Amino acid sequence: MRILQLATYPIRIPRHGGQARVANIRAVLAAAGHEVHSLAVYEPENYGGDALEPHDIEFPVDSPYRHSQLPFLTDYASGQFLAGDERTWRTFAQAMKRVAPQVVSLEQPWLLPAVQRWRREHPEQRLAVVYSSQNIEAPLKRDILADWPGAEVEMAVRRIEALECEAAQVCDLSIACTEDDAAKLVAMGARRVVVAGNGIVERAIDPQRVADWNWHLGGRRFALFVGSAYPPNAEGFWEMFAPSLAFLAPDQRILGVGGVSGLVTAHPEYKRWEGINASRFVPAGFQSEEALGALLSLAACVVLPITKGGGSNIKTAEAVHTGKPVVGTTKSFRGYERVLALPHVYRADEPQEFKRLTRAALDDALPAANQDDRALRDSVLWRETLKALPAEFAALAATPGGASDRARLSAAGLAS
Amino acid sequence: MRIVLDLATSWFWNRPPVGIVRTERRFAQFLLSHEDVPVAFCRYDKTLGRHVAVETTVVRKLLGLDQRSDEPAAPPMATVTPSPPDAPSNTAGRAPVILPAVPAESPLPMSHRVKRAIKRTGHRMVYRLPEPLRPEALEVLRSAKAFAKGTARVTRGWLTFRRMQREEARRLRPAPDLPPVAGQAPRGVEAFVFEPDDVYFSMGLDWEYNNVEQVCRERRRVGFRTVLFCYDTIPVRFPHLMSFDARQHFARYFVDVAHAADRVVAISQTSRDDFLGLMRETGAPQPPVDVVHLGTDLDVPEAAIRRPLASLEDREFVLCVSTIEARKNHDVLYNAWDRLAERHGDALPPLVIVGMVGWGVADLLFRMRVNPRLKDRILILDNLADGELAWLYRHCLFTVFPSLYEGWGLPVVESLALGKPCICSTAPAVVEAAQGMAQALDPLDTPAWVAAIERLWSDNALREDTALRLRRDYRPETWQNHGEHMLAVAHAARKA
Repeated sequence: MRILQLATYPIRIPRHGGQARVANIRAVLAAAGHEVHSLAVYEPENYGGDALEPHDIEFPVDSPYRHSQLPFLTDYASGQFLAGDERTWRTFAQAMKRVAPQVVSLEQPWLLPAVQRWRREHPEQRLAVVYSSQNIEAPLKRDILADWPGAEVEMAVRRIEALECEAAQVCDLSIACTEDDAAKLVAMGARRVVVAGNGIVERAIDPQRVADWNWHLGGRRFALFVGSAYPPNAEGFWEMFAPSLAFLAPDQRILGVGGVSGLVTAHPEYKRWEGINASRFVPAGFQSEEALGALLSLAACVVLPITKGGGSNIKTAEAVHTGKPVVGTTKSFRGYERVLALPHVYRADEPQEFKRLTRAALDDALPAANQDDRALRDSVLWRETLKALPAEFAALAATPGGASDRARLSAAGLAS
Repeated sequence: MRIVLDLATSWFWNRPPVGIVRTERRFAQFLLSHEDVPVAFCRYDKTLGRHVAVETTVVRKLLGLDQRSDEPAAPPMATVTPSPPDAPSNTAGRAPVILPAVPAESPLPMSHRVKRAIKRTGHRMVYRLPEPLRPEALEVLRSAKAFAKGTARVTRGWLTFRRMQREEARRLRPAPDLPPVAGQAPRGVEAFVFEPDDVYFSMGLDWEYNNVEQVCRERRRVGFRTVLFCYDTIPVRFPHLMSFDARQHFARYFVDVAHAADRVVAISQTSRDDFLGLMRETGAPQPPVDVVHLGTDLDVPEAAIRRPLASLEDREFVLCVSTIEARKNHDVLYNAWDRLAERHGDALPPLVIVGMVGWGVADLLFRMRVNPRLKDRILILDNLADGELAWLYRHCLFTVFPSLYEGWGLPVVESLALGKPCICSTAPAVVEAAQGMAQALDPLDTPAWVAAIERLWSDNALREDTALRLRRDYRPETWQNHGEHMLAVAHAARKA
């Protein structure tokens, strides 16, 4: 079966969580014998060179579709651009003809306008469409845009809500990251919903890299915090650790990996006691997957101070799989509620308790995982979290275009 | 239980001792005099990144204990400013020098002696310049110093980096028979070995000479107990009273202390409250904090008590013992003396200020120097021996201490302990130190200072009554008691 994934970022070199998810869905489907292609409408200021694949389409910086009064809406504009810009549309149509997909898998709702236009213009083609959601997007956008003029934000959020609802309603299959998201998709009118949580790949640890990092950090024990440059990540960090990192001993550190480390150090809470925080926070910035593997292996614990956002956090799976003590909030375990039963996983929503647990982990006072839990820890691997998808996609091919006939919910319990 | 005292500050200190250095040395002296208390000395060595042993014989030399008792550890020199140090002065036939000469058997490293010589030469050159050029020349000197320091820091950093690179390369080579190099003490320097039943004391300028993180790691590794000090939190709580913004540096230092110490010693209830308040504000742990007041006894033999200036013989004067810097608020004294000189002319006794010239007072010194009404009415002395300071306390009419904020008020305590009335500020620690026996005034209320000084100067009976009351009722802390309290803190830390 031929499948075309549509996303707003290329996935050849996955760096952030969304890319990793799409790339792993592709890998799982391909491993099951499907022919999977990907097409990304990408921002040239963020991606280029080796990261791109043949079908990827550039969303130019100077495109009139990007002239929004609000920031953080490029993803939404991507769909308008793909469906509305005639030259780009022709490029997209050529790709559709070349691939001739039986199933289009829409990663997030953004590119739905293009799919809908294709369906309108090609009513003869029997095309199944999958809505692969990663989050419930509208509330997230509302959070991100909280500091911007209310009326404009509200209008943008309503448009996104409408887009998500439309995606849920018109697609033959919806994929949710968490049970919670699945329930919301059902409430939006999704016909069939399957939950496929985020996961991780098993890492190969390079002992030399581990030794190098240990030397670089002077043998100090550290808690690892991994996150993208998504402002709520830094907000969550400081919500849990304010007023400062003074609760850490002088020889303990929190090491930030990813775009979030820059946001943490630019935050007003960091600046207020900069001397203390700079002595205890190591902003490691972007690191290769190999380096991240070494750091996960070397860390005394992993912290997940996630206080905003939906979906599930891929870093949660990484953290749990290490077997090191993991300290997270309830939100950080969304989609992985089952791992809360593991003895090395700690949940705290109160800052004092969060700090106490982090400190205890750094003091080596919290137990790590034991071998008996291996199966449960392995349940966070992509191969486990996505294992239902190949069959679901195959079922679509068996009844192409039959979405309307399958107005039933596999997750019947969620529909009530 | 063994007491381990870190003497890094005394080891590197190359000037007459200030309060913190004096405290460290007094406790060392106390420990040496108690043979029943097992004791060891160490110092943190930045180059080696670890603590190294300091032999008792070296400690005795450092403390000047092997010299004659009436001979100070460093030869005292007096200067009379605002006149330039090299200008002719009315000192008793002594050549005025800015810094004391190096003792013949100085334990100081050569690098410190070289630095001191460069600094002294630089200052001498500046004071040879015409007066209007001096401020700029001093600025140039400071810039040169900053440049030299910066260059040295970068060079040291580069050399350390290269050394680490080499060590790392060596580590990565498969050569297991190579001896370990990193952290190994060079020949002649013995690495200090902590024992689990030690109680480690550090009471010096730890933010400069110690490494609290290293103390923390060693403590965790070995399991000994630690007692660290908080003199005051002024750099964090009152950064505007400092010469530069050191808030962040000191906030980190105090937080590190809170983690590394089993007990913290504060020199006043005010410092204790300030320290714990800062810990609460930053979210740091709050270790037990003991208040141990500093000793006061100058312990100067009668033979060593001598007049620092011939011109003060048979002359009434008022004494102010305090570094001259913005926080000490000498402005109020200048304004008061200006007003009193206007009222009383030559009858007004001079104000003798004993203290090093610090930051933020250039304008004030200029005004003191050129104000014709105050000619010979304000004298500034620096680098006095204890015997000279004792002479000044003994012969002054009374003392004044208008500081805006303090961790303690040692000059107030010294004055009251020696039976001299004192007019002090209402800064909380100063009031605490005075135990209600000094007249406390709002440090910014100049008219109140004028009135109080005028009254105490003109009312002999009031001064005598106050002196009598002080001798009868004032109970200052002695260094002996201070040492005993510190031992009690050590026992408490051991039990923790």
